[in-house]
Amino acid sequence: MADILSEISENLQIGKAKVVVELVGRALEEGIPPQRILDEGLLAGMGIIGTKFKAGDVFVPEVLVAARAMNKGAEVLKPKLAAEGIAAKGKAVIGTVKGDLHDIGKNLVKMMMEGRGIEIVDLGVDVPSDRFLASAKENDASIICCSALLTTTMGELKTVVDAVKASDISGKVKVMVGGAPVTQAFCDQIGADCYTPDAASAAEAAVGFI
Amino acid sequence: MDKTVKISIIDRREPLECAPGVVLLDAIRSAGVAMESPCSGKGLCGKCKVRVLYGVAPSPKEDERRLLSVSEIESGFRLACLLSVDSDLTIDIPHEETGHKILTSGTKPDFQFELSIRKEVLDAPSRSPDCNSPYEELLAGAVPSLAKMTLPLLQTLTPLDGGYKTSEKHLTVVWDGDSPLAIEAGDTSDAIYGIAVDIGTTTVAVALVNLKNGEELGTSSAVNPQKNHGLDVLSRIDYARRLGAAGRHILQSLIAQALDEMAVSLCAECGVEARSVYSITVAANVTMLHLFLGIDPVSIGVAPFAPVFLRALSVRSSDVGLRSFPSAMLFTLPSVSAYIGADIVAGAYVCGMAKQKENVLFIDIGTNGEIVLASKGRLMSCSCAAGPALEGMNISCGMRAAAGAIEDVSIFSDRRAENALRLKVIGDVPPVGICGSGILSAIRELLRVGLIQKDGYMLSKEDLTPDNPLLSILCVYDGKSAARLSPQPHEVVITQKDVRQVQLAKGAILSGFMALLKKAGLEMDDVRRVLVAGQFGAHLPVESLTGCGVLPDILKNRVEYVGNTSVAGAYMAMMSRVARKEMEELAGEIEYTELSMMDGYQDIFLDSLEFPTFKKNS
Repeated sequence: MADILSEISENLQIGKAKVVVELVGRALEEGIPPQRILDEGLLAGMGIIGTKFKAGDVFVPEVLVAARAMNKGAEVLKPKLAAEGIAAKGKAVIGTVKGDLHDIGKNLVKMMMEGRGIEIVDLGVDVPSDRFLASAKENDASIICCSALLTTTMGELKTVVDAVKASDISGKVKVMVGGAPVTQAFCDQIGADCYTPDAASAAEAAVGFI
Repeated sequence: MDKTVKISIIDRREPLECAPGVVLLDAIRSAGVAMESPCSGKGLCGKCKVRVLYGVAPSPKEDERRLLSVSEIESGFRLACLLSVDSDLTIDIPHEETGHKILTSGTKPDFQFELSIRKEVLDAPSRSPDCNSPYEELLAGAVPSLAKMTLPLLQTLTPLDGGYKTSEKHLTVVWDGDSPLAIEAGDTSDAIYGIAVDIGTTTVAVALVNLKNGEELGTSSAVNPQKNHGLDVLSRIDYARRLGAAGRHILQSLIAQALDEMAVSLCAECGVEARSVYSITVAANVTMLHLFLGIDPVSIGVAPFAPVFLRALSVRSSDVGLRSFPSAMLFTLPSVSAYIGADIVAGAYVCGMAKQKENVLFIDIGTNGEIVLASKGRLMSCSCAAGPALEGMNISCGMRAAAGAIEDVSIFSDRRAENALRLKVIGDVPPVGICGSGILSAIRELLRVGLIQKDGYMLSKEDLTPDNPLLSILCVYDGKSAARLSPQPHEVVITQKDVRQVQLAKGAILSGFMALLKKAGLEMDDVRRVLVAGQFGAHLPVESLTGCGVLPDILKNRVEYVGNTSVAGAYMAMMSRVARKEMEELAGEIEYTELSMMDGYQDIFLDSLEFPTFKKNS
């Protein structure tokens, strides 16, 4: 029975969405608990992809096809998990800051986090600080992830951090920052809660915050 | 505090005296020593490397540990922007840039000269020795359209100093269209010159032209001095934003002074008087034009990327600080959008993109790749953020194209060990790093022999059989497999991370092509010609462009290098009013696509990341 779970993980890693969906269905038929299929099949596979991505052994396209396979598999599991009253591990809102239109990096972070079982509210690109804030409140999220890809827009990360600090969710929500020009030093300087250099580490850090 | 610290730089006579705690980069720059800082001193790029030879420096900061290798830190390498100096130090600045050749000329079509500048020789109006009425009125009596002169024109009148001494029988009026530019003593109709300029983010190129016959008398080029405040346009915009009006002023004076000096020495070399230059015509990207004219560039840096202006401007040269050219008009070419500037309009114009009957792609490869596609009379453009990897930045052993840079690599998979690699190094010295063209050729070769797979994965020794001759190329660097091009002490390697950087850059450019083709409803094979413009592209052989998949293999035999079409366009705008007008029309005709807003762009980009595959035995 463990075989089918590692088979799910392996097929997910090479992006075979159809096979993953089929295997998830079969695992359910075999009576494996949905939570276990999720953890030891889908999330395990995505975890391996995350590690490989961090090392540079796989790249953006491989992560995205793996994530697609994971999402397809998760769709099959969702009703079962809900029926058993199992909710996501936590919630995060994510977006690219105001003035910035880059979304591929942000999408990677989103998928890696989903791969860790976190529910993501994606606000898209060019997101003003008040929308980050409103969405975090509305969704009762515990993390705000914001990305800036331009030297000229990274200042906007501070706007988000400041807005959160001045609000009534200050202390309840962690602000994570990232993007090509962002560094740990910059994160410290603007008082954000966390910086990670890549999407896989972001997902790891997010799990720690939940 | 009256205590100072001494910073001695190897090969410089005087040590610098500074206040303790000074940031090394600032100290070096305040002494007038040029030092690159692509990220503008933010501790991001790791390029302001210095080596501490003697003295005690504070221990490396975290960012330094990230950007420098362990062996570099052990041998005393530090980043000047992160090092604050508390006690006397002796440092060495490694691989200082040495003058690399910059392209100053580009393809130009045949065209009719039709100058807006002309000279009119008049009989000097006579005046009695005791006449005290103003010279302006005297001239207006001779030439009615000279009545009510503008201030700059009045400033060209130097009556006792050669303006129109009684000894001169003639005087010459210089006209720009209907407006008088200058009034000169004697018949100066033979001396009429202009300067065509390309202000690049990295380099500035100028050409001195005899306007009488269109002859190019000489060219010169120099590094854009704004470079010390950031290598790419965004870092410079950020600098201007952080420092506000003062920053704008600094950047404006830097480029104006540099251009003035370049033009003055070029005139001197060619025996031309600066006051006989009447036209200075400038092509540049939109950020460079804003900065050159002292206009706020900040809005170019944030979505929706709206510049302050795009149209062609015509002003007095002295208005922007070109002090040595009091009689010259400055004309700046028109742009299309924040990221398709006058340099690209110039290029599209000289390449006749509007008149193409076939499908033609024009590309200027640099930190930004700007692309124009001509198809059935329609012109489409986009700009892709390739990043600086193709120029040797953000690459482990990357450097600019200077002495010691590997510029070409060949791998012979059938030869053993030390014979398997052949390197071409700029200046024929032992290699110390690798420049953009070198990185592309190295990756092309590694792909060709199969050490890099099409998904960008670099094989490790364990992936090869023990008898594989390629084994000698692979090594372990920072705990990961890498290709070693040159051994210690100046080890040059290509790492997995480097491959990923190039993959992103090439993916960005190729995705730009694909996006425009998709918009035009074309296939790659429908493109008949690919025109590669610009300084950087000129150094990239077709084999590298197609070998790394910047361009698909199918276009291999359709690539043409057109040189610095930006300065060529500036030349044409100077020599022909018609060209000037047509460029303004062209700028209006070119459609611009913002790739990040285009539906389905992410998929196009992902498809473009894959490297090409090579047939076995190739």
